[in-house]
Amino acid sequence: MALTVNGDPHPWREGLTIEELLREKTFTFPLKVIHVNEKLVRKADWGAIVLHDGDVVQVVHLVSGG
Amino acid sequence: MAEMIQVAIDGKQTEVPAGTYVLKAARQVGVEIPALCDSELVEPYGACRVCSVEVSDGRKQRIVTACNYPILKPTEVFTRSERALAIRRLTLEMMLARWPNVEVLKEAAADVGITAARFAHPERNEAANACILCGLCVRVCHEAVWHKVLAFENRGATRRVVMPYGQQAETCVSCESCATVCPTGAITFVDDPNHPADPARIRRAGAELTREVVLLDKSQCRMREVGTAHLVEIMNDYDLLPTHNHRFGRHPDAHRIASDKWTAGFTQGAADGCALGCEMACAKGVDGFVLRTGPDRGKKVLVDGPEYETAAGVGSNLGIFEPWAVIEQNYYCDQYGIDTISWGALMAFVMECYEAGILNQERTGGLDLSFGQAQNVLEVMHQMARGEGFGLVAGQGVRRMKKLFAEQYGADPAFLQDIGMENKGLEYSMYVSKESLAQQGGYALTNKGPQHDEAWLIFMDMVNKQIPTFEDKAEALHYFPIFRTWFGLHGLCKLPWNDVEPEDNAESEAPAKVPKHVQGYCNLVAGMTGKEVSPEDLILQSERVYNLQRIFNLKMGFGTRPHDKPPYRSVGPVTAAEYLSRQERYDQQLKDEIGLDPTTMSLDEKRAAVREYREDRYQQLCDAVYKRRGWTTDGIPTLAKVRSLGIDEVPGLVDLLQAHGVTE
Repeated sequence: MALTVNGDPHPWREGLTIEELLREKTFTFPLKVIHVNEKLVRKADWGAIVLHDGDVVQVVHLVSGG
Repeated sequence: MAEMIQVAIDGKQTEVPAGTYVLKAARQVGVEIPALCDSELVEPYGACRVCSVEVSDGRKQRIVTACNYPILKPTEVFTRSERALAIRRLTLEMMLARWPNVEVLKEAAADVGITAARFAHPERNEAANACILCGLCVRVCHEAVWHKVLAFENRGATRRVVMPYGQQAETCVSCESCATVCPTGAITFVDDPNHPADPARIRRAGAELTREVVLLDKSQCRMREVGTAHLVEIMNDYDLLPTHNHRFGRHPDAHRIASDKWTAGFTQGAADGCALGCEMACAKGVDGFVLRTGPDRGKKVLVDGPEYETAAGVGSNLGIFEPWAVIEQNYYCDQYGIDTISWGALMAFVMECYEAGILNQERTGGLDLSFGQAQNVLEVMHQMARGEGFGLVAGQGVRRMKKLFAEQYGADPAFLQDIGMENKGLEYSMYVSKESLAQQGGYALTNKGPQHDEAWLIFMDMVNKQIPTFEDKAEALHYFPIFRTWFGLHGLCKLPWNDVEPEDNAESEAPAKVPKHVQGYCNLVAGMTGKEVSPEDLILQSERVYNLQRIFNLKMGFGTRPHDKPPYRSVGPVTAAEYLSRQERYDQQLKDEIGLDPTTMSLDEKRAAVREYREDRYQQLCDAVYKRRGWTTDGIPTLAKVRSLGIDEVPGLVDLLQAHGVTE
């Protein structure tokens, strides 16, 4: 049971939200765009959206720094 | 998450987070309440009283100002009750008595049936653009711009908006934020100095950016709060924070120089003056810092708050995790005129050489220059400024020290080349690029040398995996360096481009490019010059200059393939300790990407195989980038390229290219 996160496998568990996934991946950079199964998920929904086994998650970190 | 509270506004039910102001809640359900001193850019103020409404929340039903009354328990709001309207009418009537011809007042008064005042006011002002003392200009100057140029003077009928002592303040840079929010036109723009073609267009672009910075930054990069230093802990999380001369990307003590350690020292609540009037205000000041070393020892000073590059460069990259030592180095770098990035990279090189036995106390004048020796690092800096002792050696920079240590101390030139973090003579900036091939190019395929200003592609490449092929990486290494160069052409800071983003940026076709902001820059250019430009035009402007820079490098002996070669420390693990620190990653790469079985290989064999693979990929990257940029396989712009850019008529340019074997 796994998700695909930015092309890599990541363990899935029942009830895992996007916000929790970001914590598990230590994706702490604030400017991100997230698609689940190619569908955009707004930041306001990251805490509520529950991921399903096999979901393909793309966490696009925007360019910053400088 | 804030508790949700039930509220009814003129009978319309809704639910809002506890603490939401009545005015905001009303707007959410489509109920308009007139408010003359309100702006989303500043905290509510309750100055004009025109937004008076009647509320019932379990206590006595009463009149409050909607803009600054927080909803903390179930509340009923009556925006047009008899009492509320009576208060609003009286308020507006008094204002009309003083300012009878101001349009926003007349409109608000007409809404409640008032067309003229019954009273006479001793300070009656007939002007249509009279100041109505709403205070928006003063508050925007204080709260949004953080400049405090404007203030109120006097009280009651003689109150007015002034600059201190009624004189033109030198610190006012005409950012025009005050004029933008003024509801009456009492503050007007002076558009003459630079003769812009369409000043209103420039103002609209500026106002939109101001709005984003003031409203969104606090939930994005916190540039106004801490500046770029917010990246310290983030880079550590992603294994990108350089420690011990870029050997590793993470350190257990990184939290000691994380952003909260810096904010604790920021007492100014203001920008330090990097660009007066810039609302992003990312440059900070550490106040009341008492120096421990050097000629100013014991003095209490105000020091620039460390930027990310400084905190990483003079902190983690030197194995120093003591905030005082970072601030002290920052102070003396400023005083002596030393760049903190070059300083951090050259000292890190010195310290690795010390630990490798190439340097010793005899050669450093008695100084232990192991990583973490903050006092001795500062001593080298003071010696460098005085032009004496080991400071004379360190001050020559990494490139010359490599030569010197090989010639004078018999050090292995190949090892020095591997660990000396410089390219084209410039020291590296502070990101570990080992796991991002695109960023290795982003550093060493630059014109200026490996600074972070041309291309920052680590997330796109290493984390997002958006640019997997050489061609994808080459495209990014075309667009981003070229676009970032554009900021230099126009004297603009690049931080507002992508360190704050519009609310709907995620929905744009290319979020990494922040298309709305790119269009904003087109508006600025068109507003200034009167000539319409597209995002593609901006790239063309910049590409001309970028190619001229490359050709200038060529003229100066740098602009060819060998000069684009990075030190191996930027590409992969130089030492056994580095390999072992991320062994799982490198072994996996041997297996998956190179097709070797790491279990049958010695450590030296594994290191050699990883190195060969990575260095080969870097050369393939160069091939792809040169091709995308329209350069020869030696990295020189082709004749076709310079002709297409219209720069072939620069005197001597074609001759120079031909002298380097360019024929097409």
